[in-house]
Formats: sequence, C-alpha cells, structure tokens
Amino acid sequence: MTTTLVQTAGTLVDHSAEPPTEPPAHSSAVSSPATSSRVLGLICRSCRLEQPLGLRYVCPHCFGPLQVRYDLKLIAELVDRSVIESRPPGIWRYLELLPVERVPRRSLAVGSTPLIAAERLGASLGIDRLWLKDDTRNPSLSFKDRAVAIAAALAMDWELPALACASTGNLAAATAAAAAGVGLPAYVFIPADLERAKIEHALAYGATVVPLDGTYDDVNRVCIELADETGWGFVNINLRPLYTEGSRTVAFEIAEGLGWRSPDVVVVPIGSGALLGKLVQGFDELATVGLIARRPIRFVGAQAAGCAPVADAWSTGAAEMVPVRRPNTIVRSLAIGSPADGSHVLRLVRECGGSVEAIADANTAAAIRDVAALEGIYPETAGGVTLAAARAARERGIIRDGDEVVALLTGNGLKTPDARHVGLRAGPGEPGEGGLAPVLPATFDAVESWLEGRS
Amino acid sequence: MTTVRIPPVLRQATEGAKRIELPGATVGEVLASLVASHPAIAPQLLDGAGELNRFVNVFLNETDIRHLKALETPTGEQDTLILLPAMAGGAGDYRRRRRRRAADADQMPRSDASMAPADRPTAGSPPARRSGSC
Repeated sequence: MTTTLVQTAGTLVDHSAEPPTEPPAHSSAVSSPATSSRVLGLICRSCRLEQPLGLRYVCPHCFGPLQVRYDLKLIAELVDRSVIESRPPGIWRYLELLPVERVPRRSLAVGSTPLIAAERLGASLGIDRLWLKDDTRNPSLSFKDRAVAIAAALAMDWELPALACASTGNLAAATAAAAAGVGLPAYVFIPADLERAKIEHALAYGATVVPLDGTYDDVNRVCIELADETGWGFVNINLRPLYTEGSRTVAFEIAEGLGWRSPDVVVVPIGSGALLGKLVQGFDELATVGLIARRPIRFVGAQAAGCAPVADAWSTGAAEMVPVRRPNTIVRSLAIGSPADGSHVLRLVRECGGSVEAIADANTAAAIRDVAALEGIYPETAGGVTLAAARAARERGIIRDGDEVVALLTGNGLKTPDARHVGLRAGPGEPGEGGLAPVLPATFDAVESWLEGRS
Repeated sequence: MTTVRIPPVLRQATEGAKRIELPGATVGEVLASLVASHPAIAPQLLDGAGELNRFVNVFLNETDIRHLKALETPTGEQDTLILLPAMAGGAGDYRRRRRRRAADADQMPRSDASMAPADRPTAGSPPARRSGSC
C-alpha cells in the first residue's frame, strides 16, 4: 500500500486509508447520511486511529482523546473572506469550518460577540493595545453557547433522546438553553455547592438539575459512566470531540474582528483546558486555509490559585500536572482539579512561549471591578482571573511593549454576583466600599445631605 | 476479591462483562489480575512500557488513585475499582509516546481480535506532528 501524506492543519494525515463508511457507534441514533466530505471523521490525538463521527470520545485502541479531522484543502477551496463576510452574524458564518453539514434549522443566536478596544483598562495594565472579546453577551451569557450549539445541532441530526452535561455552572445554562431551543429534555449535573444564580439559570430553561455531593471532578466521573449507559448526548463527554470544535469560533471571530489577522497574545482562562487548545487549533486552521497569515501567537492561560494544576506544572517545569483534589476558590467555573486537556495545553503554552498564571481570589475580584468600572463590561470570575493573568503576564514580560493582546471575557458577572466583594469591607447588599449607599429617607434633603457628607 | 467496573470501551476485551471480581492486595495487583485473566485488555490498559496507560483514570471507591497511593493503594473485599477514560489530557509526553509507538509498531496487531470491525484501525500512519500556530 502506498502512503500519501498530505499536510493539513499542521498535521500529517494519511489519505491512503479513508475512514470506514460504517455508521457511527450508536448507529440507531444516527439518521443523518454520511458526513460531508469536508469533515472526514474523528482521529485519535495520540495514536492517529481514525473513527467515523458519532457518540464516541475515546480511542478504542489506546484510550486517547479524539478530535475532528477536516479536509482543510477542500475547505480552503470552499471559503474565502468575502463568503464569510457576506453571511449573517453568528457562529454559522464559519459553517465550512464546523463539524456540521448545514446551518441547523433551529439554534440560538450564538456568537459574533463584540471585540472591544479596552483603552482605559489597557492603560491600567500597561498594555498598549488591549482588546476584550466580550462573550458575556451570548444567549446564556457565556462562551459555552458556542460549543453547545454544535452539540445541539448534532443531537437533532442524530435524534438523540436528551442533552446532558457535567457542569461547573456556565455549561449548565448553555446546555439547558440550547436544549430548550431545539425541544430536547436537558439533564444537568452539578456540584451541589454551585452558585445559586447558576442553578436558577439552568432551571429557568426547564432543565432537570441534579446536584451531586462532590467536586466537579466527582460529577464528571459519574457522568462519564452515565454517558456510556444512557445514550444521552452529554455535550462535554460523548459529544466532546465535536462540541469543543465550537470554541474555535472565538478564534475565527477575533481574527475577522481584527481585519483577518491574529494578535500577538491571547489571554484565556483554563478550566478543562479545551478552550485554549481549540483557540490554538482555530488560529492554526485559519492560516492553513488561507484566511489569515501565519504568525506566532503567545497564549497566556489563567487559573485560580486555589485550583491551579496547569499553572503549578508550568511554573515548576513539571512534565505532568498533579490533579487538585479539593479546589478552593471563588472561581467555580474553573474549579476543575483534573483538567481533561491540562497536559495538552501545558505543552501548547510551553511551545509558544506563553505562560500559565495562578491568580489569588482577591486579585480576581479586583480585576472584575476594574473591567466593569473601566470598560463597562461586567465579567464573571473567570473574566477576572483572565484580566488578572494579563496583568501578571505583562509583569512577567510575556506581554511586551507594543503587543496587541486579546483577553477573553467568557462569562457574565450576573452569574457570580457575590464575587466582586472579595477583598472589600462591605459584603453583598451591605452599604460601604462597594458603592452601595445606606437606605435613606425618600426626601430631597436627606439625599442632598448624604451627598454633601460624602464629598 | 475486589470488584472492577469495566467501561463499555473495554468490554470487548471482557466478553461484555461489566463487573469482574479479582484478587489482589493493591490496585496494581488487582489490575495485574485483570490483565492476566483478560489478556485482550492489555493494549488499552497498559502502555508500551507495561505501565498504566495515561489516558486511563482509575478510581478506588470513587476516589482517583492519584489522590491515594496510586497503584500501591491497598484494596479490600468491599472495594470497587472503576476504570474510566481520561477523555483527553492529550499530549504532555507526546514525543515520548510517538517514539515508543514507532518501536512497538511491529508488535501491534492490525486485526486485533478485541476490536469490532467498525473499530479496527483504518490508518496505519504513524502519530504525526501537530504544530500549533504559536
């Protein structure tokens, strides 16, 4: 057998052996015909074993993680900048780069979020050109809507009985909202001590919310077993290789927003690590299909000091991260002690000359206040961690004079309303340092005299 | 005897068994018993050096053994071991794996009886370099 190696996306792919034409693993659940030719199937990131698309997430040969394999040569022929620019806003404007056949008949209005020139915040951080990618305003108020949109589209195509997830909070609402949008039941599994606002958010969309008495990693462990036994579409487990592809649209939008080029530095929170990994992949693929020029990008990862397995490994030079058993941080959305993609992103960050910063909760809260007060955007804790990491990376010299930096605000502050009070003397609802006035008599005189006493 | 719960992706190697009772005083000994009684599981459970595959997470009664004494963790009669895929966790020691896989390639059965036809390898290509944009 002769072997033809074709370079796609920086990956050598053997085209001499095409993926099998058998239906995916759970064929009874799949009514869609063969995948479109631009999506070739799934491939093991470790041993390169190829698999057809389906509800599968583990290489049957080596247990390694699977990722989508595209025909980027074909995609380069199908899209150019003008094709994309002629389309309506939203993630589906990048259809050819996504693992779906066509724009789904129903989906939420996800993506095309603003890229905001953050001059005031940039000046306070000593960063000359700072952009904020404002994913606080996706349908369920976080970037997770991007990934879940892919999962929901495939769940419809494959006629799955339900959508489900293991969540630190943002994914709960995203899964619940997307399931509501396509008319599927949603089962959301969360650590029982999650922020109340996030639980209410998921419940509002009609999801069944199942709190488990444990950490996120405990929830994830249970859900891996449930995914195998129920046949539900667990967006971040058995749909994970496809679902995570949606996060690449952040990279696509940043590049398009900058006028089809990449920035010098991208600052991104690390929970499971999938977002950082998919941003690296997304920019790489844009260059491969000719939509942007290939330039080096430094990636700065952001973790909370109370759950920083990747940052710890990065700073000690360890080859492998040590999982954190009991995360202890206000940044619940990143409180993953055993990040699925942790080792992967550790390697990516090292290769690109970036860093992974561990941020104390008080600095996270201060950064939330800064972003809100200086730019008028209210991020959740992960956004605070990210901007605090930008500051740390600037001080460390990873971010240099003149660099163009994009920092991701992945979720909305209304999800974590108490977080900004950390480090302030006044707690939530208490008058004082947080800006809240005491309750005053409803008279002009009372307010005037309070204002005078304040100045 | 310790109960070992087998995930679906490994059940072809256990004739479909979901739970297997196995002897052993430690996690490592129980897993050795599993490999001895079901040799077809070895390529998935162990890496080329005979160590636990880094993509496999092992839990003793719901606790990740990395938080305990890893393979040296003692096991008892009432204990349950759960084997689960790490789901990702990719390529921290990717280059080392690649070299080892290349060395093992000749021994790697291409029509492994433990795999269903749909799950057979379809590409004989070696693990390839993945270069990010950074």
